[in-house]
Amino acid sequence: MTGLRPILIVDDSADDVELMREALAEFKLANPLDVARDGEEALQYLRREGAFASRPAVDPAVVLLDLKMPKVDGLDVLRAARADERLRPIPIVMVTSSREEQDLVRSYELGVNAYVVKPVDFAAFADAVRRLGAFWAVLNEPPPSGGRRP
Amino acid sequence: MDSDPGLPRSRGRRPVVPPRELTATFTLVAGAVLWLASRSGGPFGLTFAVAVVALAALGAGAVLWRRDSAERDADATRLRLLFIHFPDLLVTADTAGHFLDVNPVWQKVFGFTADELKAKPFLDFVHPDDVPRTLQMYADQQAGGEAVAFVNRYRCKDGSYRWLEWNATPVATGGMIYAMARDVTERRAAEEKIRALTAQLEAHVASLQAVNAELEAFSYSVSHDLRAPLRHIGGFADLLEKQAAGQLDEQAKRYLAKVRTSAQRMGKLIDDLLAFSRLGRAELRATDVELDEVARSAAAEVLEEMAGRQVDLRVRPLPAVRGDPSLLRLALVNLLSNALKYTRPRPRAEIELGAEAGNGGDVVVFVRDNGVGFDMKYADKLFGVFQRLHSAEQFEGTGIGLANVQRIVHRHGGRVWGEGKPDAGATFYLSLPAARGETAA
Repeated sequence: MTGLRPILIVDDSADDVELMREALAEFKLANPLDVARDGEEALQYLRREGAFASRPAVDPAVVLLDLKMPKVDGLDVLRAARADERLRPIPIVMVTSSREEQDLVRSYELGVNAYVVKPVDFAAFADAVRRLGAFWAVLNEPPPSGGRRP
Repeated sequence: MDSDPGLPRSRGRRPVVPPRELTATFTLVAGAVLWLASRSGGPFGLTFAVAVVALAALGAGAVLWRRDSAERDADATRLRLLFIHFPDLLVTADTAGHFLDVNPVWQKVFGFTADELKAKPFLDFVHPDDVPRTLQMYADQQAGGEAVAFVNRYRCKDGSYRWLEWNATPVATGGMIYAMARDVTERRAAEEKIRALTAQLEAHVASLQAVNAELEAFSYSVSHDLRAPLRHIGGFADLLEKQAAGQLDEQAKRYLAKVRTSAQRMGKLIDDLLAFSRLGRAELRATDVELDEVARSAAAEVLEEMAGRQVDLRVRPLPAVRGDPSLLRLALVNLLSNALKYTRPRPRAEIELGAEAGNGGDVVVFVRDNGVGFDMKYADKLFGVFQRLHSAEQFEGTGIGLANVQRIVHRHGGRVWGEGKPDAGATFYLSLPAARGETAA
């Protein structure tokens, strides 16, 4: 495997993306950070379509997926990824403002790998993002890349 | 061989004295007379005997005929009385579409005399809108069909219409129709009213559901959209402090800290408000609840808040109540936590959780403390959302706790109230319905 797998952040809020970048930068995580600004872009990224057609054929170590986004929301992305045989093994973590029960239930029903509520307090938020990065990008053993299934 | 005494007897079949007995008696007497005559000898004796027997036979026949005829008259009278006094509308009609006979209820209901009703084809009295259906029913009848609960409108003498519900049986002989109708105008009006009320109720429910869905969407949006900017405020304040650490004086750092704590506080307010709103929407799962167990579990939850303090927490024996155990537990946790908070200035906190009988079989649960108390003139503010009787510096909190308690108790159909005196403790009461199984047990 050449190079580290990227972490894909899917979030329509530029502020949240910046805060997550800061949190991960402090952690000195070596993995590249890729960003999709909504669900549609996220699916294009994962399928290497459109603006992402020339992206290297490496699946992200983890997708940090916001739930409430315009057009295609987080649940739609999750559903589409799980329905796609090639994308199905990619770890997806919901990272969202809300702990509304309906979102939790639907996310797990659709096969999310984890569900994290973004704390309002930045220190707690930064800590959560760093731990997510540490676990998924470093500790977790990802599925073999390139869509080959075991 | 008796038939039902309530029913009119059919003509000729049942004389007053059973014919078999009469015939037997007659045969016996006739036999005896003939035997006596033959024993006394002589043609005269026998002739006489024969004559006597013949006369007796004639007499018996006459008696039988008269009894039968009287019985027939009595049957007819009974039938007539039944027809006259029957509470529903009775009618016979011919195949030409005329009433042949109507009972007096017709006049009572419609105002027309029997003769007026019989003078015209009955369709003349039927509401124009109901004529086609009535004709169809009439045709079906003549084809031998039965009418069951057929409904149409007949005109009254004053021009108004009344609803009739028909039951009719065709009788083969003479093509006549025997029918019975009931005036169902009032019943239909009542049914119409029920339908209207039901529709109204359904509309109310629909609008309530719409409001509920709106609330749901609102709180969902609050949960998602209001938190994000708070996180950004706090986050960038934090980053700013780090970035500019060397260049900021104490005053500037204090301002930044205020920005961060305010964002956190608002985050807490939003969380509390959402939890409060969820309490109103959550399904109430009512069962018989042993309050003792609920109180133990609530006391265990606030144990942490007692750490390092002298607290005398007394939980008295509590009865069973009717309610949702998890919500009741939440109410008690709120009350105990409240009591612990407001007794903090006391060297030794005394908190008592107990119950007493309330009005109408209700159970009144109370939590009493020796804390800082409150002025009764603010008692009405105790249970408001985010209403506080102390500053956040004195006692932390958003002011949602007692509002939650009130919402939980109201959802159980109960009442909450508080009694207190400044610096002399407070008691909070909640009335709850008693357990249902209690009397049966």
